[in-house]
Amino acid sequence: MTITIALIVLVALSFDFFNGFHDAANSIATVVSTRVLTPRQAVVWAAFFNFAAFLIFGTKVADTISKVVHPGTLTNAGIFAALVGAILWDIVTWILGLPTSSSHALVGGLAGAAVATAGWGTLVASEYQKIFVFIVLSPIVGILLAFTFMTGVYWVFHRYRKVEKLNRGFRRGQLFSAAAFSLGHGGNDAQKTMGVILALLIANGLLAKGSDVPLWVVLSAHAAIALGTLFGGWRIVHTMGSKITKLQPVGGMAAEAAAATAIWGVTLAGIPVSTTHTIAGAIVGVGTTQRLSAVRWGVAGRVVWAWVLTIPGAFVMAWLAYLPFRGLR
Amino acid sequence: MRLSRRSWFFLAMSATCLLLLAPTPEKYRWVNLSMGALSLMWFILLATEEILARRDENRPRAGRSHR
Repeated sequence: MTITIALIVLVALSFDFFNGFHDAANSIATVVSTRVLTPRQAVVWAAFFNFAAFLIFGTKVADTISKVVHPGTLTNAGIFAALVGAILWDIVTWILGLPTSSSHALVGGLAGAAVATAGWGTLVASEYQKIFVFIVLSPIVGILLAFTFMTGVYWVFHRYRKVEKLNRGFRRGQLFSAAAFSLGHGGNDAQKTMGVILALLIANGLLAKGSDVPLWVVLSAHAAIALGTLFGGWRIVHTMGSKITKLQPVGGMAAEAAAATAIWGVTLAGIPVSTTHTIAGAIVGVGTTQRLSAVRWGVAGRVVWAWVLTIPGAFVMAWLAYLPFRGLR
Repeated sequence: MRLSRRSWFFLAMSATCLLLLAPTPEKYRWVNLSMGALSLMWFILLATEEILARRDENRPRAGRSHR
């Protein structure tokens, strides 16, 4: 049994690695597209702050994730299938270059595996309700905060004539906003894997119910997501950094600062939001300060469809992945 | 008076935040309320700016009628 648990922990950390790999684009797309950092420098910068996030955030989001299905429902096979489903969905959307949420893939995967194990009654409706509400709210928060930040910056600096100097300032500012966003990303996303590992350890009697997340789990989850970011997925950088709307350093800074503010707020409140949805919303918010047609709504629409399909897609993949591993102990 | 799609976009976001109040857990409703209010504020500001700009465009400039 110990080998099985170790194997599942390894798969959970692989999911975290893919999460970093898939979502690296969120942290670095704006700094790369505005040429503030080279791609290589940007991933190192983001990975460092992904890891450092364990020093700042607690584990409230991990608690929420560990409660999306009734305790004791998921067997080892179920947890394994949930992770495999989420990883497969991440790989498919990465191939298609779509910035979907790894968090929602995980939630969909857990639901698919739980339903395959013991039916629909195993899902905790109130937790899913919270997650579904924030699927809609998180891009709205991103759009509104980015629009507000961007308009504020225009108001403050509209009489300033030294454009070159101003741009240099915004480029430097982007380093800090990217760091703040990467901290938020590491804080919110690494905790989701911690939640799964916590549920696994409790289900196998290795930890008592209601235990805190052990330090080794916290450190290994942050290390895995940072490593994934280091290997970053370039396909999505292109979609986020230049396809949705064209970004200048000031816009990049406003988008990242807005998304970082939103993610820090919800992470401290224990809400598992999608960092992808928030930053994509913030990029749209920056675009809308020009005019609504500055946003390429065709690309944004494709992204939204991928969001809608993430939970059902990962659900089906996890459900199918469960079938051959039903007997796993 | 026709308003731009951008203004309506902000009103739609405000309405969405308020529509989601019921399914949002009570603990987190401050997010809906604050974002709904912020969005409504932007709708009012953008709509006012557009209305005033159109009124200025339509107003005949001083001295033009004497030419």
